[in-house]
Amino acid sequence: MKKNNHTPTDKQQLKEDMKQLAIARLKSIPSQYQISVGGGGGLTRKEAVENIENDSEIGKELIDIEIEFLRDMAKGELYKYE
Amino acid sequence: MSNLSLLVTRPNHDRPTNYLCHWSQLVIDLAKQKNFSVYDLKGKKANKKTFSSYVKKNNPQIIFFNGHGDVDKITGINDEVLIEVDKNDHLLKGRIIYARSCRSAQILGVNCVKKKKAVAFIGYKNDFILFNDEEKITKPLSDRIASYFLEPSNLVITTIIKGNSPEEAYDRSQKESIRKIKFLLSPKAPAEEKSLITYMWRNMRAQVIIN
Repeated sequence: MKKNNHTPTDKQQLKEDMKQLAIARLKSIPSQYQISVGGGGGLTRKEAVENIENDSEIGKELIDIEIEFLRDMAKGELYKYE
Repeated sequence: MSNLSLLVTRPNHDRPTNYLCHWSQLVIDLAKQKNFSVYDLKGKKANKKTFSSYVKKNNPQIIFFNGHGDVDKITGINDEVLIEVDKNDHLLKGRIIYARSCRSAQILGVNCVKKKKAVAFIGYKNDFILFNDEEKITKPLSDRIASYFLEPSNLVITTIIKGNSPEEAYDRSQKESIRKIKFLLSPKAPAEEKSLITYMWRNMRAQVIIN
């Protein structure tokens, strides 16, 4: 089947999947928790999700944090700290 | 005059720095109990001029930075730069540094130890992450959520104040982070707090010692 210009590539799909995963995991945090990451005064949960959706630098970092954790757990990194 | 001395920078101009400021009080109280000379640059005193003057005049053995930062700098009140690579990091020579600020271990930490001969630099190569409970914002020391991030962090500096090496301080802080993460993984931990594990893991992995 021919790919047209509107078909996301595998890489784009993966990026989108990671984004949605990070959003879903953030939404599991109680709404009264506030997060400070990087400079600035801190974010509400809603603002953190918006940052991810808007592909801001903080949003990208939040995705990185989630993916890094999942990768490390899959590699068994926690057990190195017995 | 005691030869045990600690200088603390603790700006408090936004929510995260205000939390660090409050939690640093615990460190200051311990240092005073241990007969340290404590130079407390709180709030507006955490500016470059005062910082430089205090370091030069009082020659503190240990400097505990709290604040925002970047790979090559640490900031104070209203994000004024306090210390920066190859500008004034010679002020760190011969001292033990704990920098509770974002990313400064990447370049500043390395430079001040390898080139400027600081004794050791414990800090973070990524952003230091902090969660807090909105309902506890007027009482940061009662904030259980913040404690998951700030108790292991405080342990770096309190371990040094109690006479242990920077290496031991780093080790104990790492172990405390792991202990808290394992608690949150257990059935005993409140379900809503388990989501913090990801971010605690990040802080723990970003924490480094350069010596």
